[in-house]
Amino acid sequence: MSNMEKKIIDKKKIDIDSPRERFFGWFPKEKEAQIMFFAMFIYFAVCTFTWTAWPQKMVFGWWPFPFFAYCFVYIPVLVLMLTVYYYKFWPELKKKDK
Amino acid sequence: MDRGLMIFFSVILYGVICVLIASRGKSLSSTSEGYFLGGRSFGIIITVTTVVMGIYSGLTFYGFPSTIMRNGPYPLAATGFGFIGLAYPLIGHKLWKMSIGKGYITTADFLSDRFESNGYGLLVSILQIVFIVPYMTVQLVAVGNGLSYSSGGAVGYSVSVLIFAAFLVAYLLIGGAKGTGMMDVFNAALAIFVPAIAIYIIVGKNFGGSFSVLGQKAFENFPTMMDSESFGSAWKPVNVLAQAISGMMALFASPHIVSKMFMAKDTKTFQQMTWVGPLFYTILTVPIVLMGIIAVALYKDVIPAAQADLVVPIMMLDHTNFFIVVGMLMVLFAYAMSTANGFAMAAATIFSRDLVGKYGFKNIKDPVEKDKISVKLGKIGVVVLMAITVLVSLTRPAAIVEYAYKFATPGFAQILPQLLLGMYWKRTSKQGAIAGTSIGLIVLLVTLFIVKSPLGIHPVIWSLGINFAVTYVVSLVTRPSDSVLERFYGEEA
Repeated sequence: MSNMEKKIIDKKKIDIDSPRERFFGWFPKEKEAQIMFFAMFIYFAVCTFTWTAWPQKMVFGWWPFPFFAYCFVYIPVLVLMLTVYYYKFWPELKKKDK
Repeated sequence: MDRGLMIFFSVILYGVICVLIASRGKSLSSTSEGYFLGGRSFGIIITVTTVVMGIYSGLTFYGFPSTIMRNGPYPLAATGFGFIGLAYPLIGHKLWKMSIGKGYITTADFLSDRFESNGYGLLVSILQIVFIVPYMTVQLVAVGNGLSYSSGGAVGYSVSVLIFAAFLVAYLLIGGAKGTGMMDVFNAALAIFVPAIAIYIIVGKNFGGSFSVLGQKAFENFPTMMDSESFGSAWKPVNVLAQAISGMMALFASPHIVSKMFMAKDTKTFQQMTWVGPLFYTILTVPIVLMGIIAVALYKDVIPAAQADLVVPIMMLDHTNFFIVVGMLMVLFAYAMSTANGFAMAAATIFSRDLVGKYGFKNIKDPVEKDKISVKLGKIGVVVLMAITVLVSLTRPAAIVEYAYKFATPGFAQILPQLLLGMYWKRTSKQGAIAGTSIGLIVLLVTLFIVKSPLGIHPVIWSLGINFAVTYVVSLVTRPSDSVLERFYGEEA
């Protein structure tokens, strides 16, 4: 099989017209990535609605609650989620740097 | 010696140190990959410091404490930047891999190739350059004000701006991206330690070393400072979301940050950025917030509104010693330089590669010669950009700050749908990309300046939402070429 023929066959395999690819081609295919996708949305929504609901006070009398929450709740949770995904399940881990 | 002169010479010394550090990147500066991308050699330490220092600007360092003093700690826009940990692997790693395989140096390289449109690449480049100028100007204005005030007027505003610009140009020309990266490590060390020492001294001197006493005093001066209702719609979930998205999107699409994603040395650096990035960003946030609380306790309703943005140098002059005053000035320079050098390098790259490079010297076929010219053009771009920025800064345009933050940040973000969809959705077409960015910009202008924030929702949400929707719908009814599918998605098929 010539390279040109092989290329034509490869090209035919690239599907952009099936309903899955046409409408949801941007949605990840790996199960872990799908979980991460929804987890990020949920995390973002939770941050948005809880950040405005923290007590309107200072922690220890001097540290504003929203920043306390930012430093010790939101960022650590985000870091935990990202670290678990990108160190354990990221598909790129199986590929080598070119 | 006069105190003002001592401050002047200290700043000169700091500038010389910066140039010396940056000169260590000189060996890489003869090729375009070396000059613009630091030879793609940045490990986690240089990457995290140069990116996070680039996010926080000189204006932030002076502006956040001032904002807290005037309005309380709520209406801060940068919270979305915690997502720096997501930006690196999600966008950065894909761009980085493609940049190695396909030779990209800028986001415009990727976008014009992915959407097979030099015109679209040109639009992106021009947009980025237009938005870079006000951001650079803001850094120069902050430094000019800070240095002239701290030196008691011994160093005038214009001289301060010129000194800053001269050092910036010197180390950018000598060290390129690698040199600026190394200098940002030095600047980050200053930004961590000097404010911490200053806070320790001020709290010890004025509040008996007790942070609780500091808090009490702050509440006495500003009893409603933790009253979120007083901020009206700014502290509603939809606008908190808008602020976070605005911050996050600017990070994902801002040229001085995205360009640094090309500089990483390996996949591991992107992995490490997922946790080191947000943590380092948070570490830098803490002293800035604390300085705001101190400003409330010491200066609320004491200093005139016109001087509110100078509360940090005022605080240092009143309550610390000469060394801390100079140290904090260096931190101001550090923040301003780290942001400005990122923008300047990004602009130089765009100028050299995307504007003049693509359209200016088509006749030169020898790649080595072309590469040398590219570096020269980049250096010329740095000088031209700085000259324009200095001229604008010397007029002290009040509107520029408002323009920079209101329009430039969401403006940068108008290429984000194309970046994300272009990477992750095969179907994204050239027509969709052009329509999305164009309509997004129009919607941004309309919701910012004509029909302001319809339904009380921030313009960035309107413009990005419509931009995403238009790109998606137009791409559904059009399609990318077979050549694009084969080149970008052939291996996945």
